[in-house]
Amino acid sequence: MEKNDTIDVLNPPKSVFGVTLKDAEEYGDKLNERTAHGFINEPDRDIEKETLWDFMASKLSEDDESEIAETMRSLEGEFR
Amino acid sequence: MSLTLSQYPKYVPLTPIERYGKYYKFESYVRQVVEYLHLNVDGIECRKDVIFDIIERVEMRRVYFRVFHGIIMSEQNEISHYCFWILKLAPLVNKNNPNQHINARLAVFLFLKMLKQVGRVRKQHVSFNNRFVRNLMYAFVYRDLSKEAIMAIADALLTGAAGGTSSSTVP
Repeated sequence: MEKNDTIDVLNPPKSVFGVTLKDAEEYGDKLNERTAHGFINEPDRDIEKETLWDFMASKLSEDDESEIAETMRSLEGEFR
Repeated sequence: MSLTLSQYPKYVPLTPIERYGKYYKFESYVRQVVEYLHLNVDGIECRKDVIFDIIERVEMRRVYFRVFHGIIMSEQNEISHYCFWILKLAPLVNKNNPNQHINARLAVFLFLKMLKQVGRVRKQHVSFNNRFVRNLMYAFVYRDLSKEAIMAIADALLTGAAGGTSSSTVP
């Protein structure tokens, strides 16, 4: 392109800086797709009633509680 | 048509009631954790101003998730953010043993608890052994982990629990 050329937005050139309008549209679609499917699930709790800390304090099974306690105990004596 | 920069709404900080409500919930939970870890509660100082700062920064990220990704921030992302800011801003001080890395211990505990709670909701079995927890503690104390890295670690562990078999044991 010459320095003083203008871009017709209805009929853009096939490639401007290596990116076509089609490329941009496809990227936008992929972005939306990633946003919809690529992130962590939304929380299952009712966030108006149950805060994050209520969720964290929910009762786990005895095995799970024991596992956490045992692994945290394994850190005692280290990193002092 | 996209918005110009000036047309985007500006972040509105939490109201005092909202901030204090979250603070008391968080502080109450941290007290339980400190007792759970058999630490002397009286020796632990919890810096209120730092916790307010952490709460506000997590809220900013919640808004960011909503504005830029159109999603509600999940528990694993929110706890990952709390872990990051606890490590960065160190709200707890153990006056009896300043070298105990109390903030890293809290962050490790929150992270493990979060994995278990999310696994419980999704009916996935997530387990971890002492080696993993020691490596995690080492990373929290000595390595530079971004918020996104902590989120990615949680995501990888929970995705591993979901894919293939119904359980995932962290090596």
